[in-house]
Amino acid sequence: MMAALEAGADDVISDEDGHIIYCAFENIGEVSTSLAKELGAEAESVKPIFKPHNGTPIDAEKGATLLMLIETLEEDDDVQNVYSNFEISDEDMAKIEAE
Amino acid sequence: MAGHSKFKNIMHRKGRQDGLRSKLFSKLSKEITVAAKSGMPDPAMNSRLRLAVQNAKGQSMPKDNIDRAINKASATDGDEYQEVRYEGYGPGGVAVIVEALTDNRNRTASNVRSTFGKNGGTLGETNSVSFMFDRIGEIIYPLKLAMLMM
Repeated sequence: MMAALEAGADDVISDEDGHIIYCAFENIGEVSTSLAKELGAEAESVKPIFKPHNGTPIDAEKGATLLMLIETLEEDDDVQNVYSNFEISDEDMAKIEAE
Repeated sequence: MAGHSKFKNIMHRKGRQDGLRSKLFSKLSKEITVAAKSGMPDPAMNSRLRLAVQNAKGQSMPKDNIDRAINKASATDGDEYQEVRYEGYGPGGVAVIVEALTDNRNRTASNVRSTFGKNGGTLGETNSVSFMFDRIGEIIYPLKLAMLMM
């Protein structure tokens, strides 16, 4: 992940789905361009986002309603992006999935 | 975003991907059109348009669709899209920010409000929740590049 940090990124998070690189809003063009050059590959997505300072923990029951809310919002043709600060435990997530 | 990837997994498993994909294309084209309208209709001279085009390519949107979206910006009878941000609380006091591009603010506001209402949330004033978020850049690379980056 040195490539990302050298390119001016502030933070890199890697999980089983891929790599998420965060940088200052003003530097997004610069960082993504030099990263693409360094890696020889374009990113899957490059965009300004709203990142929550702190997560709000939420239980399975409310979490299910919340996910429904977010999903319905995203299905609206006028809506481009939805951001939220929810935090659902793995256990509760499994419960919601099972429903 | 906390829980983000897990949430994505759920959405995928529900088998709604096809529907979401066509929606995704229409959302990407809308962003391209608005970006092209906000400055020069040339990605080399308009950084917002450059990002929008790059993201559309990243999602394998056909080049024809991309060109059409750019050309749409210079069409005189085109729709006028406005950027609107809605902020509110979902169930459990979770903060939610919604970004929309709309040609009819009344319709969008009423849809968003009713979606919040039906799902245990309330729509608040602008800036009522955005102070809890940072505006930052996010760059996503798929896992197959992992080896290169280590």
